[in-house]
Amino acid sequence: MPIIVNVDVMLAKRKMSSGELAEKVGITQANLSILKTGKAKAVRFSTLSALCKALNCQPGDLLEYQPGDEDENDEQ
Amino acid sequence: MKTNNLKWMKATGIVVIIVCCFWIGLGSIMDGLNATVINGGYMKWNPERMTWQIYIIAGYVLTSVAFATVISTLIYKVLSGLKKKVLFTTGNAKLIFLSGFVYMFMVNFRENFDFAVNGAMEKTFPLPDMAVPALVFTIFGYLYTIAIDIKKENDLTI
Repeated sequence: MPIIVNVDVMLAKRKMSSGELAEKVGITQANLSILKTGKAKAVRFSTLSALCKALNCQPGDLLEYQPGDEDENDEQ
Repeated sequence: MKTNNLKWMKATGIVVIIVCCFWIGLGSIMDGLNATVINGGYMKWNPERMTWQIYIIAGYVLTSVAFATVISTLIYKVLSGLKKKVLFTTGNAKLIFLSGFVYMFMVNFRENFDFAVNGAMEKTFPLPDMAVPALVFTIFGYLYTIAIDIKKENDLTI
C-alpha cells in the first residue's frame, strides 16, 4: 500500500500510548494496530478526523505517500 | 437486521433443514429400502440391467442423503453465523458449490429411479433439470465469494 499512516511518529511526539489513542479515537487496539502496520485497505474520514483531534495534528502529518511501495493487490 | 426478518429467516431455515433431513434424506432411504428389502421389495430385477439398477438405487439414496446433509449443514452454519455476526465465510461458499454439484447427480439418479425399480430398458438424462439448478447454485457460490472479498475489504477499513 503506497499510503503510509505515521501513527507511531505522532504517538511518540505527543507521548501517548496506543491504548490511550485507541480509546480516544473510539477504535479497538487491533484496528489501530492494523493502521500502524499498513494492513488497512481504507480509512474513514470520521476515523481520520478522530485521529487528528486526538493527536492534535493535520491529516498530512499522519498520511504519507510513497510511490515505490506498491501492494501486490493493487496490480489486480 | 430487523428482528422480524431474522425470526422469519430462522423459521424458514429450520423448515428447510427438516424437509431436507426427513423428506429428501430419510425419504430416499425409505424409498430404497421399500424397493429392495422391506417385505421382499417391489423391485423388478432385470438380469440384463441388474448392475445399472443397483447403481441407480444406491446412487439415489447416497446423493439424496449427501444433498440433505450439505444443505442442512449450510443452513445451520448460516443461521448460527447470524448469531455471531459471521456470515460470509469460505466454508459456506464451498458448501454452496458442493450443493450444486451433489444436486446435479441427485436429480439424475432420482429421474432414473422409477426406470430402475421397474427393470425397464429405458433411461433418461435430464440435462436441463440437472444443469439449471446446479448453475444457479454455482452463481450464488460465486456471488458469496465476491461478498467474502467485500467483507475482507470492509474489515480492513478502519
